[in-house]
Amino acid sequence: MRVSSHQYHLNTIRTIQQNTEEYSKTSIQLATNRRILKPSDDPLGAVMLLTLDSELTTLKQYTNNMSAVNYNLGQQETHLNSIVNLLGSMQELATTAANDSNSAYELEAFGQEMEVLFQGIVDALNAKDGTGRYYFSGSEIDVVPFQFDAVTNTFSYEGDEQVRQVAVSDTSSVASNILGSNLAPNNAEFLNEMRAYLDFLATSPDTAGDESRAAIDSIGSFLGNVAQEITRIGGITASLDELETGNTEISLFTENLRDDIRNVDYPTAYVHLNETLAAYESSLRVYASVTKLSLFSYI
Amino acid sequence: MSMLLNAVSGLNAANAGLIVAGQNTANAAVKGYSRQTIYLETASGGLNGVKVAKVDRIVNGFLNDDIWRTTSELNHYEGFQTYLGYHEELLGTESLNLNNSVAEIKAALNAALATPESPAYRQQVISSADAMVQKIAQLNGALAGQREKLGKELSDLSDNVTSLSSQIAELNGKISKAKALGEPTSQLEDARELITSELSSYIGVDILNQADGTVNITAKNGAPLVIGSKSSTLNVTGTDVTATFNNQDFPLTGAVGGRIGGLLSVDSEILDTTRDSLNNLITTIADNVNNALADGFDLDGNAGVPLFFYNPADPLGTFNITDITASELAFRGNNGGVPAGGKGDNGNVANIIDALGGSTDGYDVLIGDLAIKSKQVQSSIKTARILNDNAIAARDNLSGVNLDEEAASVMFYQQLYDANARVISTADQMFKTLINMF
Repeated sequence: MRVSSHQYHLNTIRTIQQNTEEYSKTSIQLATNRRILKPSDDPLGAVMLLTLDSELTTLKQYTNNMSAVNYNLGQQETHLNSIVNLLGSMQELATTAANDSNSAYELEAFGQEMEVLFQGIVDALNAKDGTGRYYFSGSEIDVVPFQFDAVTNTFSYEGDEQVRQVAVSDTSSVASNILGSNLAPNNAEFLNEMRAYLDFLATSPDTAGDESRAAIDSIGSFLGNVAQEITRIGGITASLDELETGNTEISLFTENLRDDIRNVDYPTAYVHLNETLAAYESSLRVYASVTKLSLFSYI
Repeated sequence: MSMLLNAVSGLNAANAGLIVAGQNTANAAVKGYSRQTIYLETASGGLNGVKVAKVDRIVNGFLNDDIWRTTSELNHYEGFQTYLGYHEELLGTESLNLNNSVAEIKAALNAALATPESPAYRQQVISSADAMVQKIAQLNGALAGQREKLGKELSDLSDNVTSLSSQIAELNGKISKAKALGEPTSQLEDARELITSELSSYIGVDILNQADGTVNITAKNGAPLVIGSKSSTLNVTGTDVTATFNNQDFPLTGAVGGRIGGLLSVDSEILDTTRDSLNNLITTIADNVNNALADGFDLDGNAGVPLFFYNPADPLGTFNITDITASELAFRGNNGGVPAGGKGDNGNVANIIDALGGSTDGYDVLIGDLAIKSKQVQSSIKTARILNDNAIAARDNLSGVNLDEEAASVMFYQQLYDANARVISTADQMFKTLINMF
């Protein structure tokens, strides 16, 4: 084949340029630890990467949601536990009051002590969080759930039946609040019964056996309600722990997948870099030695 | 004819050969130079020595056609890829990833589930929506900039094509005149071929050789560029290119090839469609979210107001958030036209999150399409470059200068010169011998 001299130079320059381009691309990959520099380097991988990051954001948010629910429910559980403690003392006092051997003076004293405990229970039921939201009033977070009307001398439940569901995965959500109406059903029946009982004791009755036994029943059923809600919180918290483990595993898997797709395989890239460098060097050498050859040198 | 004069004709021929070899050597590095060769023939009449019949360029018209065709193809794809590559990199940028923007909004909404009345969480939803708006604005700016750049480049290319066409038309005139007068046209033809090569990188050309030595050039879609000594003018309005010849307009399309064809194709196939799918995407997101909000109630129990705003005439350019305040976000559910619960109700938040679900599928498809298209075009560029290299190699193999060959020619004609000079000195000696006899 007849090869023109100019063409030979052009060919060599082109080869050198191609080598430089390849070398520079590989070195950018190594420097940035990115295998995909632009989507067309790996269209499928690039499209997967697009969604993996947002999946991770979502997973992280679910984890945050779980922490928020855990914290909220934990706070509510604390208040419910204090109610349980108060109820224990109240039950003890009511049981003592049920004994017919008590004097009127003693009964009144029991009544006064129970009055203090009762206020504690009402306070716990009307508990607020740090930002002034009532825990047990459903979605009416700025309404006192158990309100006392001095005229009718009765308590009433002013919250609603809305449970805030918080998403903890793409398909599941958990309740983040306990309803006051579940704790004291029938429009605060327990509070009204206790109010009446305490009012009765305040009248310094001679005996309070029947009334006290009724109060003990009432306390017992209220305690049952509270215990049930504490159990519910326990159940949610336990399931959140499970979900969180699963969530962490999925996050880890997603991160690994993302890095596998996105990051450079160092050994391969390094070997490739050396290969290109070798090709680059040899084309330079060949060019340098061949350009020395010319028939004109022999004339 | 005398021995002396024969030898002189030989000397002249050798001289001409050396001049041609010298010319070739001197022009070895000139782009587009076609090597020349000397044709010697025996002078007519008995023993009349040698004469230089002609000095001609060694060219094959088909090889040139191949170069022009492959150059157009290569430049078509390269022009296409210039803008396609920018688009895929722009849209594929991690920081501009729309998926992440939507995920942030969803995260903000999810975070608000536990305390839907908290101003902080509500504000976070608005802020994350605003962050997406900023990204869209950035995308829009970059895309608009590209279109503007494309218009400018088309206008530059059109000016070049106009100028090159008129140069070819001028050379056509000179060549036909020189041919008529029997003057050499090698240099003019080389120049015309070189300009045609440049022209073919801007626009695909069909060449028709005429008997008078001129060439007629038309664009691949039939629009005339050069006819005889007249040429077209190319005009650009926006991203539309028109060739005007003799007051007649011929609109150019992506099919014309060359860089102009590449740019026209990328404009309609990539820039327009990218814009369309982004418009589609953001109107879907905006409509879905606004509809979901309209279905709920805000913190004060009023019906929901829109979060996003856009002008249907140009969604990408006008996409923004409304002047909605944090408490106006309709997080409360709807129960037969009245709020389903109190301020702590989050019934509508899940609906808004659902409204965002799958909203960025179109974005993934867009990037996937751009990436695959880009990969195809990159491989087309590689193929076109190899074909172009081969075409140039084929031409250079025939028409290019090989210095070793020229060195051999120089030696050969030098020997020819020496031999003829020896004949002259022999004739001289014979003459002297004869003279000395007296």
